[in-house]
Amino acid sequence: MMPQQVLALLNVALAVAIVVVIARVYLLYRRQYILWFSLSFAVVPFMFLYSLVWPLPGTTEMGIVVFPLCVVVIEVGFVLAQKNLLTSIRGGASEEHQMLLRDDVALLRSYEQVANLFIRKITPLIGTASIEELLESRIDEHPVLAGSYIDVDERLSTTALEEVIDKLDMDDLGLAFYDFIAGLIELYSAFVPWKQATDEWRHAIAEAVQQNEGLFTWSLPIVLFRLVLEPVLRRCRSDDINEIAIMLNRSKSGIEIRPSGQIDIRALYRRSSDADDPVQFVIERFLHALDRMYLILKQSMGPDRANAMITEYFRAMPTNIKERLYGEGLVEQLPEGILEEEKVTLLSRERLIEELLNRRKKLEKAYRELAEAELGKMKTTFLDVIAHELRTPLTSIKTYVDLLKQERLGELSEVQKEKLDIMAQNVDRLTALINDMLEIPSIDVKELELRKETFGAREMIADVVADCREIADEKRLSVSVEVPDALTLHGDKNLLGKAVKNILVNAARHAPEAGDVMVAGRREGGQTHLMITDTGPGIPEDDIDRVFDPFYTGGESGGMGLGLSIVKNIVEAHGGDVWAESPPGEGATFHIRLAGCSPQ
Amino acid sequence: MEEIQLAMILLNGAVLTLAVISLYYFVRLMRVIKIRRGSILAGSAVFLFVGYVFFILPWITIGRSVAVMEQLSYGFILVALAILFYGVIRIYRDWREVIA
Repeated sequence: MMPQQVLALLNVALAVAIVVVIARVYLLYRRQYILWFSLSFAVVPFMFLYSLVWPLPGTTEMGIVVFPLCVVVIEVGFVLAQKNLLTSIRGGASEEHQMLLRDDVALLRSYEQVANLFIRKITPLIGTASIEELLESRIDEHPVLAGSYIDVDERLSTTALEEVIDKLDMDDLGLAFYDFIAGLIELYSAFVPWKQATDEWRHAIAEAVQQNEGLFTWSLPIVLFRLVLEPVLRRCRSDDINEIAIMLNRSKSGIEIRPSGQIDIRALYRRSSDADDPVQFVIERFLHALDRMYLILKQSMGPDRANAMITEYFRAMPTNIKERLYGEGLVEQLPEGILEEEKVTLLSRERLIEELLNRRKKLEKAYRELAEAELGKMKTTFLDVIAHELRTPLTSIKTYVDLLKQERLGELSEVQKEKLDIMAQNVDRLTALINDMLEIPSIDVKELELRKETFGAREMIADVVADCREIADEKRLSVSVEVPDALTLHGDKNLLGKAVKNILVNAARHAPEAGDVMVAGRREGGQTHLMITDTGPGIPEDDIDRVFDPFYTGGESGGMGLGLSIVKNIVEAHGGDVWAESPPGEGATFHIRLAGCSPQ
Repeated sequence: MEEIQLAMILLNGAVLTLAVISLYYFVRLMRVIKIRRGSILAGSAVFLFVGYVFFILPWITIGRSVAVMEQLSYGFILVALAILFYGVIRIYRDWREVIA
């Protein structure tokens, strides 16, 4: 097979995989344009047909036209798919394609949606002429709206704005739409009561924010100023309104209050778009305005009525916006008396959450401790049971092996004696391993009771060397002891003897035939330092930190890897240190340094 | 000019015209929709185009294929399809989260 045929085959495989994925997308999100994409890609494998069959008999050079022909078909499919997608998005099916819309386009659609909601209500009352007039006046004031128009369906169309959305300033667009929609509300309120107009405005905004959360920032000034503060102002006496207007217009708060009580927030929109956090900026401005307004309202109508009025319009706020504002910490910052119930609820909720978190932490800690304790207990019990269950039959085996060796159960041949010796050795080894295992848990769980006494180090080491004589003799090892007579140790003699013995056995095991093992000791300050050195192969550098880990054998057979772990436990139980050194090619040296030994 | 060259020129006229139309719609679409993997798709299209040029050039100029050019072309197309495969997988996973 030629290289291009291999490549062609790979391409076919990939194209098929792509078709499969696109087909799955289609099954998930059944849209016509995805079907067109799938069909286009289904043609891709045929592009490589010529290369795969060439040079079979019957294939002519003209067969290559299949390649560009397939490309033509694919491109037609692509064009149709894109055209279809574009048409369906433009065709007002924005809900279906909401997830495909870019954030700025989605925002534009939301503005359009809110505007159309009111246009639909106003048109039967006054026709489209006034609306067109209003739009034109807003286009004059906000050139960013240029291109939007009232179409034959008597709806606002912003298709032309979508085309140039990359060139539009979205902040300007937001302000322009606010201005246009506010104008529509004014028109609408000429035919219906103001309360109804504001209720419908609230509803429209709630719905739009529900569909597009990006609209929250835009809707916040409207909700706080025009749907909370303004209704309160409109219910005030004209003297109060004037007083509030003078106070706020002077304070450069970004809002302007008209004699009717209407609040102009266009300057606030402009300023908030320059702020780092527009939401917090609007909330700050709102609290500032509310503080000043509240002072006058309290004097004018009494605190109870003022509180009740402001609370009423707060509570009427769209739920989704209200919840988000509560999350921003607005309620806690409101003057005393407003939304008191909500404050109590929020505070008690916070306290409850804090209490729950504390309790959860305590429970987690208790659970961890319990689990650790249970695990430790289980480990101890498990090892005790296993060791006991193994030791009992071993004692019986050992007894019978001894009887057999002593020929009390009949005469034995030389071969049988030899095999019985091996058996006895292995039984002894197994017994020693089980004894080691039994010591591990008791030391691990710190239940060790040390029978401390002061004794001569040399005497103890001499006893240990004598115990190990058999192993040393087997390998013809020379064991030398260089420990001063005056050197003493303070601790549990039996356990420290076991620790030294474990190291010595380990050294003897690793020392070469007829090698040397040396035990040395000296006093260092108030401590006793023992060193056991062998002439064995040493310990690899990477393993030197792990030799004291339980069950670490360094890849060698012949032990469970508990000996040195027991040494570490015993020495640490005495408050001492144990470590190993192994310079390359010079064997290994184990050091034991015991702290707090009182000299005799 | 050989018959095959003529056929290739004619077909490529159609290919190029459709490519321009497709690009026009793509640009319009990108103004409206957000496809977070749009750059992946665009990258794939670049490799695809280069691969196509390498493939078609010998047929138009000398009326037959050149093995090295064909291998190079298929190589580019392979890269393009691999990128596209990755892109559609990502789109599929994104959409699955949104729709499901």
